[in-house]
Amino acid sequence: MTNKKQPTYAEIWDTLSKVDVSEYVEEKMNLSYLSWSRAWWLLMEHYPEATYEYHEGKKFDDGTVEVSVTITIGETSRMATLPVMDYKNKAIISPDARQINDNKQRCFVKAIAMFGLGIDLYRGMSDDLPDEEKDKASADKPKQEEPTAEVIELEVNETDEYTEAWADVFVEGQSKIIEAMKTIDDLRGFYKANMEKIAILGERFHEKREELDAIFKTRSQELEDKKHG
Amino acid sequence: MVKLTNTKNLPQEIVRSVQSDSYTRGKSTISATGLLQSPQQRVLAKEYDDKIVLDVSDQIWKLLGTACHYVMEKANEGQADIIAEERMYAQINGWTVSGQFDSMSIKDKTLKDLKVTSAWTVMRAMSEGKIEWEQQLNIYAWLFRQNRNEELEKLEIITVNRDWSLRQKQNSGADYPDSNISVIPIKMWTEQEQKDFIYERVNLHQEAEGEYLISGTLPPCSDVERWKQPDAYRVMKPRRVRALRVLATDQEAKDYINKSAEKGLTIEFAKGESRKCKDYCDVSDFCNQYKMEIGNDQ
Repeated sequence: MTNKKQPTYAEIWDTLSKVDVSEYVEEKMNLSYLSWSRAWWLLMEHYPEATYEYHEGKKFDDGTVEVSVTITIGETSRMATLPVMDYKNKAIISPDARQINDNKQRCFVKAIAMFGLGIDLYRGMSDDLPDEEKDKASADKPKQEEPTAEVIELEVNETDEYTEAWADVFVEGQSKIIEAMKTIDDLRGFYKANMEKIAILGERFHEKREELDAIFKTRSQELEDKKHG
Repeated sequence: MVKLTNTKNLPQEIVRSVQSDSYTRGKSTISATGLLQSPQQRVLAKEYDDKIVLDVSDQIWKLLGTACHYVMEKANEGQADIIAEERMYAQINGWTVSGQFDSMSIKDKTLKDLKVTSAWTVMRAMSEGKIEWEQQLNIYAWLFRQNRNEELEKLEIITVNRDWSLRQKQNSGADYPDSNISVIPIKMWTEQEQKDFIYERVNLHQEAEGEYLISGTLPPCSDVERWKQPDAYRVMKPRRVRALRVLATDQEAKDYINKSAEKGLTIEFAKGESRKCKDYCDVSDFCNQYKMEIGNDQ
């Protein structure tokens, strides 16, 4: 049995904080952010053994909820927490499943950032400092706020994790893995393991699905040719 | 886009009617009908969509079915006791699956589907059941629950018996349909059985797509899917065209000959045909399984 040397916090930080994420940063409502899929993909490129675990949300007396997630790389782990917030960064009273899920994804990116990846995006943010304006906003907030049309529209967009950016990242990530496959059986197993996401890609981004199909076909042909000398 | 030919020179009015077929699977990846197709048939139909050639004369029963559906939909539209032609959707493993029932009687919570078919099919369905109808209506029942959060009590097929005749009725036994319309009750599965079946079908189709992509092969259609008739061993007598006996195995045929007093009997092997592939499958021209079967593998 081989004992693979596990990376230390310092080594991970040194590696991930140097990854240039600027080309992957997206903008929404004047905020820069890294999509969860891109963050995961970048993390996988360096530490494919990384795992994650969402914890049970913590519910406060005022009806707001805090989500948390732990990312583990080898023997190191980092946990991040995040209140479930709307697009104005205000905590939502009695958030629904979708709002919780959106914020879990943001929390996920934050936890990865605590290892160093995309940490620059969080520099200058003072979300943990006491803020008179924020306190006032919370105090003024009606207990059951009716969302405005604007909020609904924005949230609907945010809900959909399968955006065009997701499709790009997905195809890019898959193509790298497909190209590394050594046998047709590996390729087959990989397809089956990703069947649901591939199906979603086909439903929503037909051209991207065709692109991915072509990658599968090319690799399969290469492997077949190799097999027959 | 499938191409239509008119080899029998049917009137233009009929050709246009066939061309105007408005079937749609809505905004979905797969319909209930698609789910029930064999994965091989569905993948080939997608792959060769622009090469499939159908003849207008082979589409007439389908046209009659479309016409009956159209009339029934129009007649029941807006009626308070019926929900007519509603398309339902569900997300399953990344696909949007849809199904459209013909009518739902609100009072007795019965979901119904209309079929235009032969009296013979109805007789068989009445006596042995018809699994395709059972599967189709149970898919609808599951989709109905997902879309309306309501339970159904019964499932029924209404058939228009297109070749029903009074004379045939008088000459046939009690199994022959009483009139040119029959109502066939369909067994309702449990919710879990319905769900398992639908998920299994989605999985089969998705796996077949993947396999085709990676290896270019497809899972072969089963004997049931091909409507495969059994192979037969025909005991023949010299100078006689019809077989003396048709038996299931070579041994049975040999035994028959050994016991028979007749001289010069021979055995003729008759390979069972796949009736669907031969006469009813739109993609058999592109199907390696069928080409192999008929000895026409290029």
